[in-house]
Amino acid sequence: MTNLGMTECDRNAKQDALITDLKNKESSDFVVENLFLSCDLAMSTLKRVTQWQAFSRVWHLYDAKWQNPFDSAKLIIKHLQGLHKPFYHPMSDCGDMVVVTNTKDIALPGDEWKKRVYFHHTGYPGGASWTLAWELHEKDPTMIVKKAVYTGMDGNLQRRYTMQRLLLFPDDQVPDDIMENITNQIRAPRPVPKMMTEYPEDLMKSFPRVSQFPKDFVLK
Amino acid sequence: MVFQSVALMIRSKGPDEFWKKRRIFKLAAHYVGRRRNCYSIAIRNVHRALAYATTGRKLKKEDMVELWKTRISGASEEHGLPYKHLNEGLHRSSILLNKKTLADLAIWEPFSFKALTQIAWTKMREDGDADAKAIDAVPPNNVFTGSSK
Amino acid sequence: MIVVRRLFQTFPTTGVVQGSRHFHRWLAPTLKTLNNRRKKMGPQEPSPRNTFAEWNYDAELYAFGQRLQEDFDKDALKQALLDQSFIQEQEHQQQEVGIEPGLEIQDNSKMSLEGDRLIQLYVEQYLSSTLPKLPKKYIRNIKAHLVNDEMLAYISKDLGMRDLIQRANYPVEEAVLARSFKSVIQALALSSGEDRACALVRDLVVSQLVGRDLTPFCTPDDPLEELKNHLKANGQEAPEPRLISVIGKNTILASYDVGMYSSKVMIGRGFGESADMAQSMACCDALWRAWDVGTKRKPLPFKLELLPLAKFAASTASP
Repeated sequence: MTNLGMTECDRNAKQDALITDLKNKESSDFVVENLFLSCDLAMSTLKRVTQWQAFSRVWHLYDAKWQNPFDSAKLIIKHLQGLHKPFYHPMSDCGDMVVVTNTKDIALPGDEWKKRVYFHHTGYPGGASWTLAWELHEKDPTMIVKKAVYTGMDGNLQRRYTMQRLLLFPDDQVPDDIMENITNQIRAPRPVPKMMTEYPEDLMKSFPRVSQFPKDFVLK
Repeated sequence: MVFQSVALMIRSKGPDEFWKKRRIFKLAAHYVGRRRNCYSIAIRNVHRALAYATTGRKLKKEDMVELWKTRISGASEEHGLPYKHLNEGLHRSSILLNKKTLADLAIWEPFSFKALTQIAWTKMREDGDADAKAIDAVPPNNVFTGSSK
Repeated sequence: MIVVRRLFQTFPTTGVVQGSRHFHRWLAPTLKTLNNRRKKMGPQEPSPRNTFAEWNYDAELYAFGQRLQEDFDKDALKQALLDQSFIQEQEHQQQEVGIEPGLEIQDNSKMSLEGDRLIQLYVEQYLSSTLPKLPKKYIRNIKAHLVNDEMLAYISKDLGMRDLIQRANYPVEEAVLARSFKSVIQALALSSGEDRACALVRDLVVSQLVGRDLTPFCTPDDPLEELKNHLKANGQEAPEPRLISVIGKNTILASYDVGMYSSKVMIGRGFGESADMAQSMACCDALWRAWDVGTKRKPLPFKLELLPLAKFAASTASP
């Protein structure tokens, strides 16, 4: 693919080192600047590639584990529509791709699992149906996030195309060709608590307890 | 026009309406179908369009302000500072740049804009604002806001 | 209604007769008739301004000099604006009438050659003194952009020389316009000295570079090879390309970001739709930074004290 004069492995190692080096150095001279050069009649190669880079579609990863899907939707929409870019314009195609993982582990607030109802109508008489959130989640674990993002956006002609840039996965199994595109991770708003089962067993046993369970107590 | 007799008044056809109509047709030149060719239809549409244009002049300004707000908040969140803190911090530091200028700086002068966010951030920290304390990232070093503290 | 629509193009926007309260009823039909007659006649030959009855050529020449704020020698300026084709046409007419052909006047072909030499020399001197780090090859590219018939014709047309030039056929060709411009520069050099002529070249020709991106003129065919040679000549280490990031690697919108390093210091950075493209742009970037022609270049200085042209010509010719 490239003739950069080194092996793949070699390059990756050096690349990582350089990225950290760059971050530490913060050499302001070389940061992407002057993206929008003054206009000439013909576009020079330099302008073409700078614009290519400025308007490139970045791929973001979002881990929905333990996250409120409605708060997450706001964040995802911002990236899908390109609202996080300083040169955003509603008529320019500057939105990014977002890959959402672990949608099966979302956390709905309060008793929303039981109380939230999704309405659907087939279009035929008597075709109305009401599905509870937990039922919908059982049928398709990506559907609640998808609907949250879809309804979070304004209903215009662009909405369906923007939705095409959203990729949802119920777990963390993402195909390699998609994973290779990702260059950024969106920080989740809520800290993910560590579950009891995730601690090692010896730590659990040696952890000081205020009181012990009675010997005949049956743990469910 | 002075009509000295009734006979003269009857004979006078008045000004040529061709020119009045022409003024309207010019405004309707880009319409499609009978809206551009028939006067009675054209004038209705032209009047409506002019009324829209009047309200549009105000809406355009509002739209631009909204766009600048979106752009500034996008740019300042890139540096970890929410828009409202940027706005408040800049005002407290007596940096009275308007939204248009800030949005332009964010696009064309990213480093100047970054410096502005750092000033606003430091100012909010210095003032001990409860909201600003909630920003979890570390404020930038060596930024001078001009306050006595 | 189609007639009405066509009339829009024909009639002036404000057809009001001053002092009257409205358009007269006869106005529209009269204009319609005039327009119909004009259409019937078909497309007409362009009528140059200098064929009009009240054309005063001497006054126009004086005004031309005043517009440029220069003192022209009247005869020199007249000769500068006299094209070869004009003399040929005049002689041809004399022959037809039966007079022995022969005119005392001279055309501008010789003047234009001298003017061309002056412009070429000055532009080269200006560019090589304002862009001292740029190799000669690329200075020649920029010069070729400034001093070609197309550009000079554009400038002379903007100065209003189309009507002043005396020549046989009316839509003036580019070559004639350019030739006349060169001659006008030479005429100024003869009238008020070389310095004034050079200043005019600077203000009219060199100023075409203002706000222009110079990078298209300074793009080498093989950027990597050029960069290697450049670094070698300056005693620096050979360049090393490094991939900084790839966005959307498996998509058609992939964007590569490559940095160029020499002795572990970044000297250039480039983007592109492929790694090769990004690499060559990074090489170009490094070169443009070294040559001071990149996007961060300072504006061109227009208050420069330059050597007299003869000295400059001697200095470039000797080595």
